[in-house]
Amino acid sequence: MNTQTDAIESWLVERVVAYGKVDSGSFTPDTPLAELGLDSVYALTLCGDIEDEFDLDVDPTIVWDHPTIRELAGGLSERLAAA
Amino acid sequence: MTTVGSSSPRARTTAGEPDDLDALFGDPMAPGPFGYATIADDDQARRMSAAAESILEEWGAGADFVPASLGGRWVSTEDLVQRWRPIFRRDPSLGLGYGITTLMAALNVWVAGDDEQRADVADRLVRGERIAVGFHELDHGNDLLHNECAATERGGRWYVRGQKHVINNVDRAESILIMARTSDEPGARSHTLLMWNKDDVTRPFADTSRRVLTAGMRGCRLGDAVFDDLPVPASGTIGAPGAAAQVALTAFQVSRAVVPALAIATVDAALDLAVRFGSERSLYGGVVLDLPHARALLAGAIADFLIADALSAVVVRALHLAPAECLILTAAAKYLVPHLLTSAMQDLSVLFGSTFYARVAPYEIFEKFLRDLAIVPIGHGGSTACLLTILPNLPAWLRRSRRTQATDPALFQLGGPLEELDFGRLSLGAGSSDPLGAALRDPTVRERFAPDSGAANALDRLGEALDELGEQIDALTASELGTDAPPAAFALAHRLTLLLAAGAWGGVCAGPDAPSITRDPLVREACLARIEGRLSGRIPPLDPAFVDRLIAFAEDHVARDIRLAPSTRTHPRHPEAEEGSTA
Repeated sequence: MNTQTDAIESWLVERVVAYGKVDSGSFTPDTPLAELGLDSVYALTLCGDIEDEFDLDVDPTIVWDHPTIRELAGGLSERLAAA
Repeated sequence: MTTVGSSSPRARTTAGEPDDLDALFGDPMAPGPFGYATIADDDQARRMSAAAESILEEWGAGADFVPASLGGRWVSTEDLVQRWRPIFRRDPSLGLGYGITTLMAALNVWVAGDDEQRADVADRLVRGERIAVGFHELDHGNDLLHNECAATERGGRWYVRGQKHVINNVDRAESILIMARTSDEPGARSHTLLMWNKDDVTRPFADTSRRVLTAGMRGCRLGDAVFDDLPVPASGTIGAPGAAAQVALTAFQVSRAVVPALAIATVDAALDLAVRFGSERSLYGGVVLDLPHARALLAGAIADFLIADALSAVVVRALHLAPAECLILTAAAKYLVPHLLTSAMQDLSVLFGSTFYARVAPYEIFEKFLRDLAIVPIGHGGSTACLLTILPNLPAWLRRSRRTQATDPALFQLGGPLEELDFGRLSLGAGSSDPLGAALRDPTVRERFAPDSGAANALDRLGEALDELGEQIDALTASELGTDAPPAAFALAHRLTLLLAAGAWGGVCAGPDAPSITRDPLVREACLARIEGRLSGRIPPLDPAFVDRLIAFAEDHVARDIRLAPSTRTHPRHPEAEEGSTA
């Protein structure tokens, strides 16, 4: 479970860097996503990437409920375990 | 808990179907307390019709917004729309001012309120009370997440400080649902919904007396609210603290579906007036409707109206049948339907000519209708805000579109039975399918179109346009999907709404009990041609055969005093009874 959460966390970091709003190394998994330039549009993009990567339909509210990379990785890992 | 309504004398309205408002209001063309002439006078004086409001009070209008499980009479939203259309046929500002804002406020409670709050609001509405929607701040418009009016909690109470602007019924409503900032953090979890019942406390903590005057919807009592540490009990918190945006965006899907479907009735009335005017008014040795230009204007307006009617009717049914898909569907309806209807009204204003701008009796009400409808694309999820809902969801829509193999025929069965709305199934996601796009190719739809007919070929081309749109969406990047999106990205969202409307029209035409007009091959093709014209960005004139057929349809309905909207079921729609007239 922990390994999976860690893997999701790394993947999320990679995605956030790929969106080009922040440089890798300039943030931690506990930095609020809002501070990483992830507005509501990027939240939806992230949801799309999550759908593609994990074959799991998610609402943007998952980002509202889990506003950091660490929390989001935890939330996703729970959803995946439940799916 | 749900028997709360039975204590009220008006709970009797829940038993059986209430009277038809068309009958209670009387013929709007005839002189009377709620005829067009009086409505125009009341509008000029910026007042609500006292006669009409007392009829609505007696009719128990508030019970329509209360789910049957809470003691009201709302089961099928389609039926609700049918019951309220007679109001919008006569006076949209009465519809908005008497009721729709109260519905919008109550929806938030149905979505997120606890049992006690739902029972209390149900009781208040059945009693005839109003609730105002205290969300809007002029500085932020539809950008709700930046609203500033704030509340802080101390000792079991919220204290609200700030202003809300252009709020319908702010002064006369018994309650106001306030969206208040409860955290300084940016983002979507920083606002909370608070129900302020004025009987708890008013002055000196709140001033709601300043009225705002508007060009359209003049009779509405719009005004501002100024809160100066207004105390609201913690028990008035609707939903979790911080959940305002989520609750409102969920709840407003219902009103985004209902409002366009009601606006249909206003344009229905305007078309009726235009046909009467065009057949009466002498010009150049004939009547207006002898002139090809006037005929083309009227026919184009009718085609737009039929498309708008199909989309709005199907989206209302989708609230019940495809709730998870409704974020995109209701935004599409709230964007495209007012767009089509205001375009139709502009065309009709040209047809009316001087009778329009000089407000010549008995057609003076048309000018008011045009002003009133101009508000619909602005108010409550403006057109641009609705496109902004769709825009970032385009990639999600595409994924769902590509995996959707079939549509749901029940969506298109206008008037088919619907169970009470399950608010818990509405979401802020894109759902799991694209039922309207799929309708363009679904065999259950296509088998009702003669192979190789003009309409069938149009559906083929529209299906290809849907694929092409998908490829264009595929090429978009996230930076092109936000509020700063380039016009080309907005155009893709616009095109999607037109293609969803085409699916709705195709589906309605193919419905098992399809209204007779939608079985007419020329009318089917005319509407699809209109959509293709709009997709091309330049609307070509309709083929003369389409023009003649559409006008014959309208003239026939006006002569028989039947509503034009195929979705309207106030008159029996037996195919054999109408067959002769549509041939």
